[in-house]
Amino acid sequence: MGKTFVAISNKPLDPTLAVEFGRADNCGAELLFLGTVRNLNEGRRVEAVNYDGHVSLSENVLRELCAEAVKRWGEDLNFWVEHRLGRVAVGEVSLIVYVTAPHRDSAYQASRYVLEEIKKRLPVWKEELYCEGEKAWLSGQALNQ
Amino acid sequence: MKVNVGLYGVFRELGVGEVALEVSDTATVAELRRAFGDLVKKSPVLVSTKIISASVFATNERVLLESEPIGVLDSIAILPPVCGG
Repeated sequence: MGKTFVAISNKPLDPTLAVEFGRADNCGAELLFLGTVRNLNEGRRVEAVNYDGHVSLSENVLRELCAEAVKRWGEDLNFWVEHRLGRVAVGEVSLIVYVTAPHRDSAYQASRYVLEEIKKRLPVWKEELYCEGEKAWLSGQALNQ
Repeated sequence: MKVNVGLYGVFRELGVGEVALEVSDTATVAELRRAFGDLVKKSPVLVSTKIISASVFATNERVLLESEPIGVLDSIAILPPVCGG
């Protein structure tokens, strides 16, 4: 039976904790996805992103996504999924999706599934802070569609 | 009755963390949405009405249906379109 850890964090994320958690002798595949803040978006130079989020709902959604992935790709999967809130500077990690599985096929599919569903379902919002001093909330995916 | 609605994302521009709306004692989420829209129209902050209709209301546990009565619910928030990850 696999393990799942999900969290919404206000502190810098540490991928080594994910790896320590998720490694298992029966898993031959490990996939670590790190989402980081880019320095350019739609032609504008970004200094940082301010992430806002509904913490309790987000943690519920992350647990649901991992449970859905386990149902589709097997109970041996292990997950560490963590999203950061607050100000995240360019180059810093805003999201960890770490999956281990017995074989690579399910690891790749589960990892991609969780990431794509996060973008559609996680109640988190991004406010980009630009180098020239302006800021803007980014548009997103409606939860009622 | 007075209902406090938590603000997230672009809606934080309207207030510090929440706004208070006055609705009927038997109000549903749909009525709460209308009251929120009225508040936004009176606000100097520009928030698109399209974003309001694309937003959902939720408690700490789940997203609410438009037809749900809100009288007995705790910790309601309005969630604009999401863009995490």
